[in-house]
Amino acid sequence: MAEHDALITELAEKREQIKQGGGSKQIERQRSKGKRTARERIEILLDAGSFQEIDSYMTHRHTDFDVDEQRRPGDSVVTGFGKVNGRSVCIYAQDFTILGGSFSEIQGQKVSKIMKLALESGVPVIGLNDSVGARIQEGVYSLAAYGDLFWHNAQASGVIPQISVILGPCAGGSVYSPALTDFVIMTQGTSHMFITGPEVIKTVTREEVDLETLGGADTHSRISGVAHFAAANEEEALALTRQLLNYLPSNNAEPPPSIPPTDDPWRMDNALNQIVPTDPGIAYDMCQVIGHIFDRDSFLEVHQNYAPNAIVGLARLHGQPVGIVAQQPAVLAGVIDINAADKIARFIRIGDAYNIPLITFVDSPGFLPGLAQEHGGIIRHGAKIVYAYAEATVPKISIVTRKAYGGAYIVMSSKYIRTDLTLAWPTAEIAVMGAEGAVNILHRKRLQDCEDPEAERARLVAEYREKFSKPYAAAASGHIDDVILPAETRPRLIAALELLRDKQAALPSKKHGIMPV
Amino acid sequence: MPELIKQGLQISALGMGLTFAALGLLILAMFLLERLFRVRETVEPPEGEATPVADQGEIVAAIAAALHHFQENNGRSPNLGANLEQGRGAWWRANAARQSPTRTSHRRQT
Repeated sequence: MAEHDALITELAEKREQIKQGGGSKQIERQRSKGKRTARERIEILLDAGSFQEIDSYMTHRHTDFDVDEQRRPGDSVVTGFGKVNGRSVCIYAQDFTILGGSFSEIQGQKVSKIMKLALESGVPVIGLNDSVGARIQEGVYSLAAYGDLFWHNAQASGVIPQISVILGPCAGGSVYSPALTDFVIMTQGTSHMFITGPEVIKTVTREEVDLETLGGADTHSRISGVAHFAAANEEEALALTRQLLNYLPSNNAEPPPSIPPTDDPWRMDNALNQIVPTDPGIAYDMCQVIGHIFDRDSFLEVHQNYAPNAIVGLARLHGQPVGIVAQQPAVLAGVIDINAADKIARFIRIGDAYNIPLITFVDSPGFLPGLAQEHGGIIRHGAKIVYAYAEATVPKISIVTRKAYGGAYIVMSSKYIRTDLTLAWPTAEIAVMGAEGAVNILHRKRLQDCEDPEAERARLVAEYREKFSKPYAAAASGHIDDVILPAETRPRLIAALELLRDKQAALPSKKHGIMPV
Repeated sequence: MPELIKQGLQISALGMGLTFAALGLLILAMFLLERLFRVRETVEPPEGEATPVADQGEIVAAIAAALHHFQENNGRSPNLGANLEQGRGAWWRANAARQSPTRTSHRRQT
């Protein structure tokens, strides 16, 4: 009896030691930076009492540079599994209190093991990143561990959802793991991501830059597009992770999780009938359109601050998760540029990978002209949108709300890249280009020769608009399946989703396509 | 050789002439028949029944209101979205099980 008690006491003591991570001093230091410990973060993220830790006794075997003096059970990462809103997930959280959360051989083994478990169990994997980078004392062992992690990230890509939450530094090689995952969430002020730090940059290029400007949450959520979300603090970031998981299936063989409908499927907001100005030069907010159509308060915008001329996000329609792709006419008139193309293409592939139907709202005058765009490879980036839509086999529905000119019409889920249903509002304009541009090209000679070119141009523009500023010509030839009242959009989309609920479309057999990345 | 060409041209001219003459006769016959058997319809507007413009506007408004009423109430299927609430059907599940060989699926991995 006493022997058993001793064994249990020993276990309890070890557990207590494990909970202490890098020790109380390191924990205090962590908290002084406004950050929580790895285990505290896991407790906030997962359903209460659901976390099951594994590999908490693993320790490293290295001795160089006296690293053996800092040997702690569990090493610099906490791994395990638990539940989020009742659904199983696997999780790993880097523990900054142990050697700065540095990526070691053991951390690599632990993370790879939990990722393998997640992949075999078909559950999402969430990484809470807070690490100084590779453990220099371990040399190539640390680098090898990175390689193994990236391999697992790539294997899991498109099979199970992967979410990276950056809650501290994430530098050097570490950044590639979040970059390989589906969603990256960063906290403002406390998280940073960069390949090379400010000191190295100063040495190499003589550029002086602070941490926040180089790789803060605002930088990556607005400029680089590396981060999909920028949260104000850790609590918000973890709440966002839970919210995001509500829209995603556990794996690519499951449908996304539906909830009982909370909104009237027949709700027809008459405000939609007047929301699009008839003057094509006047902007409107596409987010308002989305708000009127989808289940109330269900829209979660992804990449909200990056390329705001395009909108992507997740929402619910009659309780079902759907992916939304749209232009934002209120920003740059909804023109498609390099960043918008990247943003749209990436989101389409996420939706397709996880069986989330895609609903596209089109209002774009076309691709952004300019030397910078052409030299930046707008052709290649724009092609990504076509590729992603053409490859996607999930239900695809598009609604042309106003401008669908030229290339923008083609790439934005047009009929012939296999969109299942293409609808248009009465305000839709489907043409090769805008009226003014088309008249200048078509009637150049005539306008040069006539006595009053401005009056003639106005007449010709009006004539062109009469022909193409209404969707009926496109509908007459079957390029648009139906012209609908804007207010009817919600019930029409629900009815379409009902039809396409079990849609299956096969792709030709191939190893993989060559996406114009 | 020139004689042969001459004969060929003569035959061509004769053939074409006959064809056009026959077509001309057909057109003439159609014209005459149409004149002979034309249905004469005279629709006289009924006296005192001219609809004032204001009344037409009211009719349009009434039709719009009726359509709106129909859309708002009678045109609504009570079970819109019911299939979605039931979750994916057998068709999807069966096909999901035999996904394209190019695609890695969780099911195929396990």
